[in-house]
Amino acid sequence: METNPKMEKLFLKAYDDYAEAIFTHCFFKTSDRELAKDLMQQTFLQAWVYLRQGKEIKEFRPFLYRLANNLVIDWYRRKKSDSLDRMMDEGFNPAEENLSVELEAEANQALKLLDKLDPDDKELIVWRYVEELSPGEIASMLSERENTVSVRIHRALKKLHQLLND
Amino acid sequence: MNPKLEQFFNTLKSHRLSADEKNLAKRELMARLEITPASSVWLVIWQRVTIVRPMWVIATALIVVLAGGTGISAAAEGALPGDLFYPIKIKVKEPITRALVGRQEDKRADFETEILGKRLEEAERLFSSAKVEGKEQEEVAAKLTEQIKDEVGRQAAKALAETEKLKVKQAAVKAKEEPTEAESEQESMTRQPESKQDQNQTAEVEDKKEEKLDQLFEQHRELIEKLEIKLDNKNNPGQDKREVRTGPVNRQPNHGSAKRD
Repeated sequence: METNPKMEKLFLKAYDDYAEAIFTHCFFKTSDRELAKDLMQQTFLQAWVYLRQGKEIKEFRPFLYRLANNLVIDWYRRKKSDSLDRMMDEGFNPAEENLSVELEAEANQALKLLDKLDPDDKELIVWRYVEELSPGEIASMLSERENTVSVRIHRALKKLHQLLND
Repeated sequence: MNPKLEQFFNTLKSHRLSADEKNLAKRELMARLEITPASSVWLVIWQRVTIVRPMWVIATALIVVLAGGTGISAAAEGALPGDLFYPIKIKVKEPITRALVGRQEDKRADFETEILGKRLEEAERLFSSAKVEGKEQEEVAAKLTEQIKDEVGRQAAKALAETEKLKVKQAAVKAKEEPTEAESEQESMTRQPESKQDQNQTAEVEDKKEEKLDQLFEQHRELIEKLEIKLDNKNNPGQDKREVRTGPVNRQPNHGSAKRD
């Protein structure tokens, strides 16, 4: 199926709207900035391919998140099955370009702390307080009721608070 | 919110994608997917338009539009083959009028016949003026003659096709037969049953149109023979020496001979 300008426009708009969110999502799951950028690009690439096959994307956000999640999972699988050497290599954090050394240390601390949460709780926290999505938006992505989501966010926040004070 | 938490979140937010990073990534992605930036949409549209029509047609159309059509339009009216405005007349003005004539078949038949009349007159005038200036008809550039022959032939085919369509339609209505090949299914479905009087009227109108055509052919017989334009033989409507399309009027029949532009 041929590319048409409308498809491109739609796609580019989705990029403008969701690239940051996808990046953030990938970053907090991998703690690797460059990798996160890479995964973000791959996510959109896959979305493009999907569009070009003539398939329709009804709602970009959940679709992109699904793609991104799968990419992250794939990456983890590959990581596990690699040799120890390779794992050690990837264990090194690439230099943070835009942050000063101090900030970097602090940022890493924060990341480590965050990782102590359950993955689901961590995801909720990131969505709510880093990407600043509303509980309603999060609820629609998870196909849950908004109330349920609010309660879970509240509980996750409490846990985090506790971790901070430890 | 707890200040500690707030600070915590601020730290996390520092990891976000910067605007620069995002723009760079976007450009990379677009390059990889071969998407041209929005400003080029007009370029793409332009390219598509100009594939279908040669540039000069577009240029003249634009000039006509921008310069306030009527003046040039009027000037084009009297243009003969070889004149500057002749192409505007043939390729811009008339197609537009043709499109406006629209779907009514009897109006179309009239229109095409009228245009045919014009073509024939133009040819006559051109050749006679050449004579007046002392040149022989043969000297009227061979290319021009080819063009004229081409254009007249084309127009004759159109006029004939439209008249044929009317005739066929009429015949089908009379005989209440299955629609013939020349009639699309849609036409037969939207056709209203005509009263006897209407039928007679239509038959009259129909004959008149054929008459008109015949008159034209007769009037310009010499010219037609001279130019060796082959026309449909009246007695065998099915056999056409030229490919006549019974589809939409603005389709050009295929000629093996003269190439246009």
